[in-house]
Amino acid sequence: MSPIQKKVCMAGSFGVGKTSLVRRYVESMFDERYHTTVGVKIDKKQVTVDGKAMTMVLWDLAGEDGVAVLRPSHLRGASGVILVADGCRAGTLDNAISLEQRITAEIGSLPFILALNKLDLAAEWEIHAAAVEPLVRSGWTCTRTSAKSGAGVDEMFLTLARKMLGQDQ
Amino acid sequence: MPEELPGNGHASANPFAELRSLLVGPERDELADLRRRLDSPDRVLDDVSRALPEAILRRSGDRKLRLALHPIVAESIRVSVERDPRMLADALHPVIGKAVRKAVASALQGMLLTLNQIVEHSLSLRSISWRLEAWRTGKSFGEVLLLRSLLYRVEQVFLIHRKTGLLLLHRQAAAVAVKDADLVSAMLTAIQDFVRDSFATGEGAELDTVQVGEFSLWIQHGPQAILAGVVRGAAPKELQTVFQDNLWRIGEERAADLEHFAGDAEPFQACAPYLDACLLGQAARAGRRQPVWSWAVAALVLAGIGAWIFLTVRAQRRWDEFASMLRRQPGIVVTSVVDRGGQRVVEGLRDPLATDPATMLAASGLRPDQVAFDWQPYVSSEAQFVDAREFVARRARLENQAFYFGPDRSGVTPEQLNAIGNAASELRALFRQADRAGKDVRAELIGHTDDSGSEQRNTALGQARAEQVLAALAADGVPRERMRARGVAGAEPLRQGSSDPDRAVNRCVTLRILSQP
Repeated sequence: MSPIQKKVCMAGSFGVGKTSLVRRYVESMFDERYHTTVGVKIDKKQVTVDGKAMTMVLWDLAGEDGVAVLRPSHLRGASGVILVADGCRAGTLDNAISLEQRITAEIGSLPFILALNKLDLAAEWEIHAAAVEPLVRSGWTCTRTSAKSGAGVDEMFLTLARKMLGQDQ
Repeated sequence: MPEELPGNGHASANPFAELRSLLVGPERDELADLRRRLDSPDRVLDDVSRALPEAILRRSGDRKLRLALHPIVAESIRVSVERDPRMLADALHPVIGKAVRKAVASALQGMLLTLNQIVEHSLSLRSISWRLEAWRTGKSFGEVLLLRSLLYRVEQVFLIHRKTGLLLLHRQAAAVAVKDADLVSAMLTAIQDFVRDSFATGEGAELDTVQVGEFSLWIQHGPQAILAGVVRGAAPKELQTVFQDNLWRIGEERAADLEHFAGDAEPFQACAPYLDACLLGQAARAGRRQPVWSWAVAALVLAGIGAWIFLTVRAQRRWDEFASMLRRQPGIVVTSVVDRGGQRVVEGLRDPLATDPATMLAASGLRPDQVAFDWQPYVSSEAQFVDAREFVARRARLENQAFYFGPDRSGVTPEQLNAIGNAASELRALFRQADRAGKDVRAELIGHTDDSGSEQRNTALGQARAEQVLAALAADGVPRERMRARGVAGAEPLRQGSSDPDRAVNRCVTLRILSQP
């Protein structure tokens, strides 16, 4: 039985560590130059959720700097979204919230997860629980990750995988 | 129905009726209204027509409704087309028109490519060898052209879900190194999006082929799926048709699976035969080596042809040399050369004094059985033959001459001097001729005696007679060193017999011309 495949888009502001987040934890064959040329880089993450194998094909979209346009063609057919924000820069969370709205407007409501990255620099964090609290209350799933230590990364993928499987049922 | 409203003048006449109208009056009115509505078909139609669109819209996901509507809609379309086919044609035109245009363009492109190849190959050196191969193998030139010029292999085929870019099925040819097909599939989709977003101008514009070094990527787009093939080498345009057909079949067979694809590629395993059908190729480069023996045979045949050419040329050259020598030969006139079953027959005229052509033939290197002669004798007027004939005649005259002596005499008589003078001038002329011809000619004077007298005496007498004539000739200017005297006595008599006339003839000196070439 071949694994279930899901297209997952990753989006977030420039420099939030999106690429680092996947670099060490996924299978990859394309380098970062694809970001600047094609505007997207494809990676793959294989997970097993409740005994089911899943291949997440990650469309790592070029860093959103607030002006760049999300290509509808990149979003089309996605089953889930990973939004990445930098815990040390409050602005990146606002950007993630606006990204979520734009993605929902473009392709409808999808299972998504917000990763607050750079957990290893917790002391310098600008995004505090108080800022996240309202989002969680409104149904957002938020995780804290560190691309550097790997903390929370696998859990993030697993959580999203589970949400996507739940969507199928 | 009469209306009895509360509070009018008749109320007091029937308190029950009044009470009833007070209690249920509005309901009665509603009932009456409802009854009116139900009884009026127009009103019912109005109501249903108002509710129908909303009802259908609300139940659009309902299979039952779809099933119920299906025959009606199908029949309606049929009737509509029957009545006015133009309407459907107009409606379909934008769709069909585009599809037809694309198909025609693709077919034209294919034809152009084929034409280009034919023109390119019909005049090249390679095409000559292909024509030879066609002749050798009994194939048509077209087949050989395809086989030799279209060396390609479809190494991998990807079936990709168009919307998500997820891989539905991947097949590869044997011994092909494959990178992660999932990633390739998604990246390919992303790149197509990129190209379409960045450069495409029209709605239906798609990326069809990508050329990367010796590889090319052939992409066929269906409404739900994409078929992409990685091709090594130069594939014929017809390959696109193969891709098209197979993608179309997959689309038809798996329409529902494609429509509702949610990440489970399992059902598409069944499409493997269609993808495998696209893994075409010509393994000509590896598989068609000539066996060693065929090269050996070719070498032998070549060597044979070479030897035959060499021998033929050599024989021809020898013949040419011989023929020209023969024509230059004095006393020989070649009138014709006839080829009779591989043997050349030379016909012509030959002076008997001319060199024998048979000895010339032996020296030429040609085999005696290669050439035959058919000569007619003739007299050549060439100087050397005139000379030669004169020499022969003079020699005969000299050798037929004799100088006679009386019995037991050896002195030259005055009567003989005249004949000796003639002989001397003839001899001098003969020697001159011989000198011109480069021949060493000498004269021998032979002294004869009759059979009377002793042997000893006769020997001396014969010798003396010969020497007497020699001296007389020398006195008349014939070089002495070119003459010699020999006494033979009665050993070589001119006449056999002992009568007086016989003896008179035998008492003489004769001449013999000795020549050495």
